Amino acid sequence: MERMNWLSRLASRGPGHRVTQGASLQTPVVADPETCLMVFKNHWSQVVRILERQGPRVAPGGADDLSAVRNHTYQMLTLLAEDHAVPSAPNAPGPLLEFALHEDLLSRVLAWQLQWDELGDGVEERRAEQLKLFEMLVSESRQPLLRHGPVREALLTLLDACGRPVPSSPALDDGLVLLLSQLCVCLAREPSLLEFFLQPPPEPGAAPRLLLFSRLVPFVHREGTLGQQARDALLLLMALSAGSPTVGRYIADHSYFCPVLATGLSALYSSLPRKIEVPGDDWHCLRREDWLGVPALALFMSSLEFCNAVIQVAHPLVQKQLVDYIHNGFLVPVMGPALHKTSVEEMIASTAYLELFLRSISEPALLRTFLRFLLLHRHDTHTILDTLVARIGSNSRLCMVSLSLFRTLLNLSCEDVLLQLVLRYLVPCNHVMLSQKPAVRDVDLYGRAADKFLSLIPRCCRHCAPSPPRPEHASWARGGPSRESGRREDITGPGSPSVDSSSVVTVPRPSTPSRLALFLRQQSLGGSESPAPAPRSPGLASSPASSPGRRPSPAEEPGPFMAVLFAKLENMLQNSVYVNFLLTGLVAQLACHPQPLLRSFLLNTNMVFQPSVKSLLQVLGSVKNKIESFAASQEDFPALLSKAKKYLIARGKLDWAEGPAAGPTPRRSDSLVKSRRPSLGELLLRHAHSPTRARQAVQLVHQPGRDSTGLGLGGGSPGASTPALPPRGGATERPGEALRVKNAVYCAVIFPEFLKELAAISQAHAVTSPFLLDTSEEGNVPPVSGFGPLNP
Amino acid sequence: MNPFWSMSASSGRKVGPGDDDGCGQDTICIRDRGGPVTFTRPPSGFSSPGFPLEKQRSDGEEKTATGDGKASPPRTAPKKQLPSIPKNALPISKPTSPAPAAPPTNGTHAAYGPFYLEYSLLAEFTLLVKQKLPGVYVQPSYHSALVWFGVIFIRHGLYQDGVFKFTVYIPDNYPDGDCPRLVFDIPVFHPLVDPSSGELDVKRAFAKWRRNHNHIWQVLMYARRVFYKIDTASPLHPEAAVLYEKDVHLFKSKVVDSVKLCTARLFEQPKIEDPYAISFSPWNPSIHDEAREKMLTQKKKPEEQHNKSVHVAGLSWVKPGSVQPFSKEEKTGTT
Repeated sequence: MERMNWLSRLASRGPGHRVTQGASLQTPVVADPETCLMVFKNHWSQVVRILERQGPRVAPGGADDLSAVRNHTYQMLTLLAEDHAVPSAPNAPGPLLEFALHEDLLSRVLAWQLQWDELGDGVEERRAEQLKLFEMLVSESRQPLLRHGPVREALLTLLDACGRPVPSSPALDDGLVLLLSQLCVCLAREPSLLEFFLQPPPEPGAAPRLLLFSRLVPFVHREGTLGQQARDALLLLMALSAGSPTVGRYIADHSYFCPVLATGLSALYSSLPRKIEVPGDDWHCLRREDWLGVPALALFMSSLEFCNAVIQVAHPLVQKQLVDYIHNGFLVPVMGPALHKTSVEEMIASTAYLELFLRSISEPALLRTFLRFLLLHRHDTHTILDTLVARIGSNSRLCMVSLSLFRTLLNLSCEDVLLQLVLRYLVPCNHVMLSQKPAVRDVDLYGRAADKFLSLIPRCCRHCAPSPPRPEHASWARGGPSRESGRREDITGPGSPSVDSSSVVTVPRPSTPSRLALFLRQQSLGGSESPAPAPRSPGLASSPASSPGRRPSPAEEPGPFMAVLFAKLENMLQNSVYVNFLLTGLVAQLACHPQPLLRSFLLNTNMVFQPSVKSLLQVLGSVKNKIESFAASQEDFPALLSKAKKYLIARGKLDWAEGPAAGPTPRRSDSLVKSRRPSLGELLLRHAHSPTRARQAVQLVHQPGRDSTGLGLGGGSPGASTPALPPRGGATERPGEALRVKNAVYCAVIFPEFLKELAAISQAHAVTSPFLLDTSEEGNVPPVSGFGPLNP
Repeated sequence: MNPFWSMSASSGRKVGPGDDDGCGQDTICIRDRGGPVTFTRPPSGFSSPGFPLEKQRSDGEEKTATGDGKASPPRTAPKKQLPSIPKNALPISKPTSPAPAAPPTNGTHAAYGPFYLEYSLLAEFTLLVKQKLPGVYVQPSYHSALVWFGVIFIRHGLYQDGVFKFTVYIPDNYPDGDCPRLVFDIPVFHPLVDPSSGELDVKRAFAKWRRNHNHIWQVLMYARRVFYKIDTASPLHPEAAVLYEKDVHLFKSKVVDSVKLCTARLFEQPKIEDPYAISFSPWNPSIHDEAREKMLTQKKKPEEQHNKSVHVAGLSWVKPGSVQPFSKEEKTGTT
């Protein structure tokens, strides 16, 4: 993704435009080549005279010599940068370069200057100057300098000198990194030269050297532009190393690059804030704008992104090594314990960090390491996954960041994740009655499940809806929506199920085509997006623990993840509105998977489960009953409901007005998930952390009535994003009671929408699954086949 | 250009190579408001674009839906009126079969009846597309999901070279009502086709329409088959039946006449005015050559698209056959 652009941007930068810049500056001074050569030789002869005296040790006049050589060298190198091949021999070095190569000019000057280092004075200043001069030469030269051995020798001498103990200074660091990155840019244009910079071991058994590389490594975690420059240069080298086994092996075997990167992550992680100052009570994940303002986190993220980029471009040896170091040097020793801190604040922070990391990395090899750590690594006795799953059951904030983490995990569309979370519990089919096994594959063609879900909408939620402007149905009826709208409004409330307008928005409608026509047109617009037949990768078809004989044990559960989600769902009335958004979003996300086992478990309302297994339908039924009995006990329920709806709708409008740009976007496209309109939860939580937004929404709702009494009261914390609802009969309530009422009322708004969403998803499955399941319907195909990568 | 057709062009499906014997080049021009778009059925061996619902099927496989045709009296009443368009009155779908825990269909969610119907038809249509019936092309109406336009190409046998346009009418209480009706634009000379209305006797094959067991693609498969395997029992067109039994030669010549008639009238305006109705026009190089070229070059695309979509599909490190995460050996990243 971005990284590649980064790389190409880098490669295109550098000498190219530097040359033009230099040229435009120098044009006035351009003299004819012969004069230049004469001047050049003249400078050199004066330098040679000094060099040939016996070293710098003689104190008198020594300083003068030094400055004379310095001036002459400056002049010579400036001329040399302007030198270019003569037209008659375009591939040969230009006259000045040829002379310089012949005289070994660069190395001789440098060697003489370096002798002065031993005297100890002005080393730093001189080194900075040398670096600058060489950088100018490399970046502005009009001919491929690095092809010539003497030039490389001189550069290596200089780089070698930079390793000697000189007090580090910003100027020196800047000069060094700049020179190195210029060299890398040059090499990127002629990758074959890279191996010439690899110096053989000085003695047998010692390591070879690649100064170009090892001088850059110490800057890899630096902040600011210097660090960025070093990382850019390293990345160029990494990309080059991919094509050079020698260099690849050098980096893996003889440099500390990978351990430095991985332990660097650990060090940077340890300086992250232990506690996140939460911006609002709906906050549940770190957005870009959240972490950009936290320098420690921004630094960590740039290092992590760098690791991701390195893995993307580097030699396989380097890639593998880095991934291993990240697992053993960062995830296990640092991330593991961090996730298991005892204070809730720290748990929240580390979970949010982990979620951010998972959302930010993209390289499959790196993702694999993270996921492997999550799924298989045992901290104490539990896997990280178990611990995180259990936290969904905890109270508000920790629950929310955990839900958000799982949302991100599911967005990865990773079979291993889904297997571990859900499928492995469903594969044996112990959750269904024996006779029902074949029905696992059934596709609900006629909307039976949708009907069932919609029938669970509590009666009390159906009336008095200040419905949002109903999306005009694309009706197949000739008369269009006008005829029906009047009469249906009163029964239906907020119109169509959540999903149907999704099929409408993208397509301009001349009149009222049937939705079928629309669907097809949309398919065509989507082009390649039409779900491709999923290759069934793991041959589960043949493997599922064929256990017809085995009796399921009494407490067969669909796994802890489902259990905790269902428990939380059953508790919907007590959850905060934000928990419910995330929770229903997650269940909907699972329901979208075109995986027969999962689909039948969640959406097939005709399925008969083992008595011990709770179905989604049962859970929803129990929520329905609770809402109904709550509504019956709350005399002003209709008013409260209408108010809550108004608020959420106003808030949703604000979000839509700002465009759907924000929010973590799933990396991979999943056509089914994608084609689904965002759930109400996603819709409303977009930008939801912004308190101003909440305030705006509240104003929107309350402007007409001006009933400010409703605002101050209730269980919301100050600055909370949900407005408290007006008190009952003006009486002051206990805060706990107000919160209970508030949560229940918001739940009564969300619940019907969730049911509509589930109904819509089950209908979408009916339409898309024929494309996904490339199976014949006849025969006793084991129920789990078609278990491919989980997305179309 | 109607994107609908560009879609169908990109989803090239196989024409059974053997099916093309003896047929010339069929040119179909589908007229849309934006101007005609053409596709050509190429000579054998090419992937056929357009909306080919084609699939190579041996005749043996086609027996499935035959046989239980009950004698139905020949119908003579013309059945040319427009299909009954679903009333806005909610088509309440009452399951005819005793279904366990049939949900109450009153109340809020009954209002969603039309959605259920529409999605059922969407699902039926995708199933139909999956079948790839050889020589059968279908496109739903622009105005109504309950009306599908189609054309069928007969590639060998008595009706060889026949190009028959037809319309499928689906009852608005689908899937709980009668079977869909299929009416040919021009009554083909055939024992099972009503000579005045052009309606095919579908009922004999689907005496009772059973949800979940019967699908619309079966009707189309049946419609194709009647031209290859003539059945004369209780005909809608007794004269044709008698001729077939008694004087095959005369029958054949009548069929040839009928095929010629249909071909002669191929370029007529569609019987039903609808932007998505199928219409033919003579070959016009300025329009059709390009479209044809495009279709022929699309052949390779599906594989590329396939690979691409597989690549973005997701991540998996599960070894085939295993239920252990990360059981696959080392980094083979995406599947």
